[in-house]
Amino acid sequence: MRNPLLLTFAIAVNFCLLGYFKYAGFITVNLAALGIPVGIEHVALPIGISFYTFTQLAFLVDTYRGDAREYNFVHYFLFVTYYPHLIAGPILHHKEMMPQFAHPGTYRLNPHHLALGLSLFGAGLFKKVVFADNLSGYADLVFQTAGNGIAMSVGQAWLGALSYTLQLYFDFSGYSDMAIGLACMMGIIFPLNFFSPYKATSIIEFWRCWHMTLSRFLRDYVYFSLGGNRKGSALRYTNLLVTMLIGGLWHGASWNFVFWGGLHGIALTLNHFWRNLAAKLRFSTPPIVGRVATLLVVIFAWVPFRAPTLSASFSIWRDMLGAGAPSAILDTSPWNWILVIGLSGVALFLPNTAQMFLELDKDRRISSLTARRPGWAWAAFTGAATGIAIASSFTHPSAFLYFRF
Amino acid sequence: MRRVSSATYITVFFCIGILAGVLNYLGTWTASVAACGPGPQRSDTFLAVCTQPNFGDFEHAAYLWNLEPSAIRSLQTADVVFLGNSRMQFAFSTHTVDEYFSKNHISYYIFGFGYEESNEFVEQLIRKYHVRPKSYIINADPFFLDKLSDPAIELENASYLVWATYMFKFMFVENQRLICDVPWLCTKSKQAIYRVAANGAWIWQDYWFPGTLVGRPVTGARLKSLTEDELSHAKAIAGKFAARAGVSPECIILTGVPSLINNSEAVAAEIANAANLQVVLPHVDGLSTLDMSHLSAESAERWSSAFIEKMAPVLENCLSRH
Repeated sequence: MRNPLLLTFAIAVNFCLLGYFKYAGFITVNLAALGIPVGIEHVALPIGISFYTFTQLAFLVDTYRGDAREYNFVHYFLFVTYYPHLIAGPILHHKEMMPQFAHPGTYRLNPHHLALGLSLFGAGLFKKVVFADNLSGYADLVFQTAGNGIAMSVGQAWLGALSYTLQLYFDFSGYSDMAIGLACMMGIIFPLNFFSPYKATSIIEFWRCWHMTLSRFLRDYVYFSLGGNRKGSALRYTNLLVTMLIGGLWHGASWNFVFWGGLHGIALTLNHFWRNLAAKLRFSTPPIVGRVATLLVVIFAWVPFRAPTLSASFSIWRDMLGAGAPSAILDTSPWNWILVIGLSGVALFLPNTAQMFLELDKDRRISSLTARRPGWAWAAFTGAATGIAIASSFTHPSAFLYFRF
Repeated sequence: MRRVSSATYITVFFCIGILAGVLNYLGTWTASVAACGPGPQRSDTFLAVCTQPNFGDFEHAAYLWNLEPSAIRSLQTADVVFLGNSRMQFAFSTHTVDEYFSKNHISYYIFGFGYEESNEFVEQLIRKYHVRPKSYIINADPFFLDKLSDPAIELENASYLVWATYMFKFMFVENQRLICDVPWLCTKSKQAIYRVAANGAWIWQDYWFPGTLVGRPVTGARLKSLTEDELSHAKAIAGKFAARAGVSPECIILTGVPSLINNSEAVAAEIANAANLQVVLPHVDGLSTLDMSHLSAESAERWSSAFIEKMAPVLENCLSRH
């Protein structure tokens, strides 16, 4: 397919569906604010539409570019509807998935894949249910308080922001681990989606470790399509900013997400600028400084990502900087701090799930599902983690944060 | 680390997983419901109700499934059985009532339930356990509704999951004293009601409300009133109850425990009149309710004392016929 009109039409159809289901309400509200009434009411969002729309767009663009190699409809249908990733990613790419579906060995049950997949699934479930869900209570309280226009103390605002920072990581990376584990049980290798992002020493590195498949998609199909870095620094920075704004909007129909994308776009631009300048000056940033600075930017940027309104975000930032007049009475127990400190240690210092269970190549791709053979202690450990997580989910059921995207 | 086969790995994974899951569930469940305790320091009581969401109601299952056999034995041998809802339980679970029956060597059982339980569930139990008292004392405020409360409905159609939940509750109730010996585990942070197996009385003071709480005076308009249809329906049900109770109408005594919920005295009088039953309605001034519904401890003592005084000749007359 090398017909640009056909490509445009196919992309438009996908975007129209995404636009209607995900952005109709947002557009309606904003047009109404401008005095243009549009009679579209709230539309229920089909689960995972953002993920499979991107998956299909990539296939269309690669077909146009001549990069797609396989057109078997059954494999394509399986690739788009492959359930482990549907709800919250990773965003799959046809080049890494369709050859696996074409391989006959994929359809034979392999006990080792099953064992490894169970462990990955259990580890992900534990991260979600035991880590993330226990952080959600305080995070929700702080953001709700800010949404009600009530100021908090510095400690409360920071604890809320840190709780959400960790909650989102354990929730989303937990889901990704579960998806990778489920696929692994069926002999399918998924791309990694997280690789200890909070250990990153720069925002550039952060985006290579956080929602890696989204970063890859935005780079290959948005940033490169805009021209990438081929037309000089000024356009490169503009392209980066536009890419991140689109990335922000992809997360949801809200100005908060656009703002969050913009913040990361600015941070990435500054990071690239600083990196070029430092190279010219032959200066290297000490890793610890880079790590702390990156983490601070990320934590501050998560505030508008989670806050109910932009004004609530500014209110939390003000409180985090100690510029507010606290009046909130929040039930803050030492347990909240202990949890945040303990789980910060897990996120910042322990190896990640991929390092524990999988064999990776230099590009952080899973090279084989059979290279690592964990022993009985891992079986007991991950089995216990899974049992505890399932039992906990009976008493406190909760949804994944990325379901809504 | 020693490598194992995939089959061994999966087996270990599932065995340890199931064990850890069960232990975790039981541990967290027990830790949560421990907020209902510790209970009274006497061995003849059991936890009937607790506001901890994982516990809720237990007494309906305790009687329906005979989980407290000593309570059923006492019920079966009682000469006088009190029936009604939680307002009746609060009003008659008093020292005055206990003293009167003990002094006169009359066995009694206060057989009411919370959740606005009415006659249908209680009559099921009466039939099931062949309860044959010489007299019934009924708080008809209203009681004759032929309806089941939510806990009773849940037990009527109990799934395995519901059954398992009640078995957890049963195990907790049976071992509550042992569990509450663990330091700091039982926080008593949730409202609870304990029940005396021997006479069915509720122990609520300092478990549900502070015993010294006075609350709102029983004056002024009531929140609800029965419609003519509801009242005539109640009269018909009362008549049927009297016919199959196995007790002569002179021995079925209706009353109406005062509250701000409804005009219980008038309801009791009308039903008794229609069904040709006895009615005892003491007049006591200055009563107060804890929560608009249930009499405070002090009011319950005074009101039940006045009730006993008026009821005693009627009951003695009834018992002398047996």
